[in-house]
Amino acid sequence: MRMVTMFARRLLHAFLLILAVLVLNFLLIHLAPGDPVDVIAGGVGGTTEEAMADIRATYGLDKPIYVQLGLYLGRAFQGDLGNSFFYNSPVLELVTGRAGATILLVATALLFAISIGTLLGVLASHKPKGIVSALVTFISVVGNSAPIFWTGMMLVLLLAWVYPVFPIANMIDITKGAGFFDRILDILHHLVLPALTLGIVYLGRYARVTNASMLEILGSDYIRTARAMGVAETKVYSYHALRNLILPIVTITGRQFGSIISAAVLVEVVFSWPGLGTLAFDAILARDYPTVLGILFFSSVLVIVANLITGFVYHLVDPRVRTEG
Amino acid sequence: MTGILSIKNLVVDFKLRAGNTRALNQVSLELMNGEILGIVGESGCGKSMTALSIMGLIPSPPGKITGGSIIFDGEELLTASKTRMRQIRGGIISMIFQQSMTSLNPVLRIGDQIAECVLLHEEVTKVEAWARAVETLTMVGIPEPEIRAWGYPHELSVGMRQRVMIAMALSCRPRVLIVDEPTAALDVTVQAQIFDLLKDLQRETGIAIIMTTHDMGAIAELADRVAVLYAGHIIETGSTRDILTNPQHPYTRGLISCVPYLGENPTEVRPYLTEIKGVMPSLTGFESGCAFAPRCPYKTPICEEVRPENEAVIGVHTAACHNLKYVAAV
Amino acid sequence: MAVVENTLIVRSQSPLREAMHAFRQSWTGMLGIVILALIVIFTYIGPILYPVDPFDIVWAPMTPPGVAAVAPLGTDYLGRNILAGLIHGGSATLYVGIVAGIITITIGVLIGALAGFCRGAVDEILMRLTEFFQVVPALLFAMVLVALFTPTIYVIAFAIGFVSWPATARMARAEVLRIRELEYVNAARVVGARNRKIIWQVILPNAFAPLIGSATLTIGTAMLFEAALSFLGLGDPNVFSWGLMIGEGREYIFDSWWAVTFSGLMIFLAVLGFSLVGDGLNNAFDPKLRER
Repeated sequence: MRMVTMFARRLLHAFLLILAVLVLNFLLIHLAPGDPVDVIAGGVGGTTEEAMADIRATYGLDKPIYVQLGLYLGRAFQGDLGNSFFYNSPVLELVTGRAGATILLVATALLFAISIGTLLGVLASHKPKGIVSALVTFISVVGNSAPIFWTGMMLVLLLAWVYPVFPIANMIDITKGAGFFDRILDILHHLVLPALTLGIVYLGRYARVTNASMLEILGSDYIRTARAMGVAETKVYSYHALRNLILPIVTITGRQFGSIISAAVLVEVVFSWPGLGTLAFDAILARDYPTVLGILFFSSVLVIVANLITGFVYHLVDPRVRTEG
Repeated sequence: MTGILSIKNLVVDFKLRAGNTRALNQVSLELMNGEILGIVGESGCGKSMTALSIMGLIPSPPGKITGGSIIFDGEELLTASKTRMRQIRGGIISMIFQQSMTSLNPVLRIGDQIAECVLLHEEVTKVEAWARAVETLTMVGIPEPEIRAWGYPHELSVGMRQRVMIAMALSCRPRVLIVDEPTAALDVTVQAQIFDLLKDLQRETGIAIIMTTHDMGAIAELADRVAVLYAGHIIETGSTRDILTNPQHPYTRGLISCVPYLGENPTEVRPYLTEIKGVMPSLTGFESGCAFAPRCPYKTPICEEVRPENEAVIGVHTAACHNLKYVAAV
Repeated sequence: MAVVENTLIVRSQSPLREAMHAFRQSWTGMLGIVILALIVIFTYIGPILYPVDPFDIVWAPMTPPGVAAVAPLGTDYLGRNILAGLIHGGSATLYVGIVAGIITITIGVLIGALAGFCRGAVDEILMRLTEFFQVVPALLFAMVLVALFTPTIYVIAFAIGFVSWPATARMARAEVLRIRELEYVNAARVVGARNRKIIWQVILPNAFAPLIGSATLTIGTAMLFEAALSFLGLGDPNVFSWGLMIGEGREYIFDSWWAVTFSGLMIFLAVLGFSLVGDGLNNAFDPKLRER
């Protein structure tokens, strides 16, 4: 029963956040300098007087502001996020079409960062003065201080040009075979460098957190108890300690989604990866605001959903939270 | 007379940046079958170190056992293999630490933690291990043990958690139980309950218990015999009664007189609070003479030159002091 | 009469002097200061010593470094001097970084401290607000803001500050909550000190230490943010910036890698400098972390 009420509460909370983002979009359209029509029409100069009057009527721009907000929200819940004049397509279609590529990139990068990061972190905590520890520090420093779009380009120079192991850009090579497996492999081949670039930054963070957490855990009283009970050292690490490590890992994962999507935008631009990032980039250049705002909304929803999932996972993993509801 | 556990001339060193610290200096102790032995002393005197040495849990980079022997039931523990020590830990010799608040893994079920201990040391099935877990929880007085076993540590109070620790330690029916500071972090009512529990368990199972503490009250309540530790040296041993009523060593006398006087008329000789002047030194092991000499009111020149040996005073009551007869006369 | 023995008199210093002394001991902090000093000199004195306009075309496009004396580090795809670009490109990044950092910290600390101190409804509302700003991806948000309003340096700095404050707010709130519960705050309250006095004299001095370390980190992040916006072409078009160099050089990276590599290196060093200083400050102010 408690689990269900907790879940319902979180769902409601997420819904309210989504609503707030929509309101933000609305505010941005109307607070921007100039005529809201320009924003909605995408600043495509040369829109005729008729077209503008048409837009004004459709979007009810002469009505009072709260009515407009109501209309806007109503349209949004029906799936109408506006129209892109630049791409000549409804925004929702555009966005959902590109979302898959971004999600693939982010998921792969996170998987890479979490798995290798925690591994390195555990090894570093085992030998605080060893090579792994130094490596973790190095990766963290580079990851935190170097602009991610620059590291991406350096990787391209190194691994796609000097030693042409990986393709330079894009997601697929049209010239390659069209068979299903061929395509999957091709996509994976193209995925490596962007995912690596995006992952390195977060790898450093996971490694640092794992290192710090492991040191704390290994010094804790319950680990002392386990050792006093005769548990073998490998099991102390892989069972008693690891079960407690999951908590901080889930916590920081939850906190990073906003930042990882921002970083993904930059990585996509560097590698011409056909996701939401490159769409946003092109759309902004073309002053296609409906699309840009649509991406802003959609990516926020992604973050909200991801947070919902991690909150739920945390609830599953930490028994102390469960009894508090 | 040798007992089930026999520590002889144990030396433990700690190599730190500031230099070497000799935590235990030629410590010798006997634990008899079925008795409760109390090791008493101030903070930092080496009580916990003694306990950790028996368990083989001295943190090894800074700490090292550099001499002596610990013989349990005829077996030398200091040369035992890692596997053998793991068998012994929890299975034959168990230890309970202070800070029961944090000594249980917060993300694992209580029943699982106890059952794990059983599975490590005995050839039983998971079902049997779980049953044993519930059994030991009952034994230590946890109400609704089957339900509690499914629960988590944070659902229990401090006193209950301490009982769970005891249950876990006893789950494999060890021969020796080492209890480190049983009174720390517990309020007096809980303390009393735990004391009763330990006494009952000892009576029922005949287990031998080593108890390290700085609390003379706990010693008076529980211990059959006492060993007094100062700066890594054993300076007096004897039955609890003998030590409390007829302390021989100046330090022991000081310790006993430190129990606050609650009577009506404090006098100069018997004020409300007495103290032993000075602080316990941390020794490198290269000092000569008696460790207590700097603080001893009965010090004579020989005390600074020659380290006193533990001599029998009356029967099995031993003390390490050059001036025993003089001190006794005071 | 008592005999006074020779005793060692230890002069006590004010906590600030102690911290400064500890900072000087930490090699990471000192290295950071050195790097920052070099960058500041490069960025602000450089243009005086090397007054070449980075927008000027000086030689053939995509000339490698070391070939033309006019352009010692080569030229970009338009034929502009890379070295001039490096020298002039720093001021925008540093300026925006520091201004945006200040804005972030100001908003963050205000909101966080208020939430932590007042608790209750105020805390709830402010934390919901913080959560909202954290949910919207910061870069996209800033991109939209900059695109809708004109992209000048001031707008950019403000936009970055406007989207980056949540992390600082959370930290400030956590610190205030922690200090609030400390014994001597209760002691002050028991003695009857008024709330304002408690905030100024007890809470802030204790919160100061972790905030300082995080401030340098915030500036570093803001600089990276500015570089990202410039890279995407959303920077101030009248100002030359390291990020801009990388963004413009992207398409020609295989023909003129030097256009991209050096500018990125500069950004890296600048952010690294702040990072190291922040590290050093953290160590200096927290006695537990001080190395020997």
